[in-house]
Amino acid sequence: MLDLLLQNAHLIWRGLSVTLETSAWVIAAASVSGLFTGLALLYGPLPLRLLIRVYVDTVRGIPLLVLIFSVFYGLPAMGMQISAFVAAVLALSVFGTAHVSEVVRGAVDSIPDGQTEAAKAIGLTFYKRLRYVIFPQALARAIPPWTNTAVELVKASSLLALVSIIDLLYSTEQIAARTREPLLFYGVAAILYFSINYSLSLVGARVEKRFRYSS
Amino acid sequence: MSDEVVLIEKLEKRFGELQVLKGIDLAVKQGDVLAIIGPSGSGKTTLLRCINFLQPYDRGRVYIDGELIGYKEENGRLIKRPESTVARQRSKVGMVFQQFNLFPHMTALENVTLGLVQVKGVARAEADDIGRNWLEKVGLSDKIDSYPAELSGGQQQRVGIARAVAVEPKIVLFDEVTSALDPELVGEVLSVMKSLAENYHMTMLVVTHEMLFAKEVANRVVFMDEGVVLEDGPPAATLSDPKTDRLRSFLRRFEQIL
Repeated sequence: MLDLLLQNAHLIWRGLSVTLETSAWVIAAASVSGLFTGLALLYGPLPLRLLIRVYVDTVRGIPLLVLIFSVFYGLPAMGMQISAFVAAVLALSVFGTAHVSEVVRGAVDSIPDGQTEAAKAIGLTFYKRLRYVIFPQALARAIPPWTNTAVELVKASSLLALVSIIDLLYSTEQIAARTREPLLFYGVAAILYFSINYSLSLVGARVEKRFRYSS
Repeated sequence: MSDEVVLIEKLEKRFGELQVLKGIDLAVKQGDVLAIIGPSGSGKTTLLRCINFLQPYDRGRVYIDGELIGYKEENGRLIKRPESTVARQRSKVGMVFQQFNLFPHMTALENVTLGLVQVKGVARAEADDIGRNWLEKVGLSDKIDSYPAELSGGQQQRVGIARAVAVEPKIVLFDEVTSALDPELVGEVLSVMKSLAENYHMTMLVVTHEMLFAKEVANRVVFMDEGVVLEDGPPAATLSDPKTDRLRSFLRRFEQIL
């Protein structure tokens, strides 16, 4: 059994690194763009708010797999030649952005109006109110749901196996079929997915603690 | 313009169907301490919030130091000023809130110095000196590094006052600042306000239900009812010898204090 594991370790590693790389890109992209769309939901001009509202609700109402297939088959059909990997990262990011928008909107919106009013009253401009008063407080509240979203995105990356990207799940499938040891290799995959996500949760909890203040 | 710090002309504000301010005229001189009294719903708080443009007004004018607040006037029409201009105008007006509204992630000193550093551009070290000094004046020299959650309501409100006055505003607005406090903590906040008036000659607009403060500290009492100013004069006149029935009946429930 150990032999079997060692023989396939490099394949598992290759799959794992694709999963890690995809997840990292998607989490980064979704966090940055979600920050802007989330703020636009709160402070943007009405047409922009409506546009993003429609985007967020649409994306959240579509099964992720449908979204992935749409990008994977849709963009080439529209004449855009992109690699399967880029298409996959794009699809997951579109999904992640919608979720992070809601995380950001919810966290910022949960800060009492009195904080904004007090910040206005001492003469802070819009940017400085966000920078010094709202964000530091919203960050502590955003981290738990943000960590949830990040964990969901790591798990969602396993759907990429369906568009033939050899991530952790797909390489596990291949090894399991070849060695006829599905239990062993899916078990390993489960442990690896869990380890990634548990680490994310730990980091999230630690960061949250650092930004929390007694209130 | 004249020597008035605050000049309010025919100020009107409505929320939907409800007209909260129905043409307020008020002139406040340097060093004036106004106690603004009246039943709830009379527009006192809205008046304060229009002065620093937390609440944009519909009609009329608010001038601070001769500068029209929140709008510029073109051919008699009011056109909203950009956010950055309004922010600069607000820095001339301090405000203390009923619910304190301290920044919970900052220490007492950081609460007081934020405006100095980020609005007035004072250097960190100098801002800390000014901040410490004000916290000392409000009796909190031992709470400089405490967070709001570690302070009592009265202490939080005194930080709120230090935060409002540290940036050297032309006037300070007090919006029912003792209403959320336990009765035994009211005195410490009122005595700080009294000292601001007597020792620093600050111009203060105080919305309050504390009739003793109105009587002993204010030099003018302004009585508002249903969105208009019904009486405006020295406390000796307004409180002891009200001219309107409205004020007379309003004061009846404070009879034992006055």
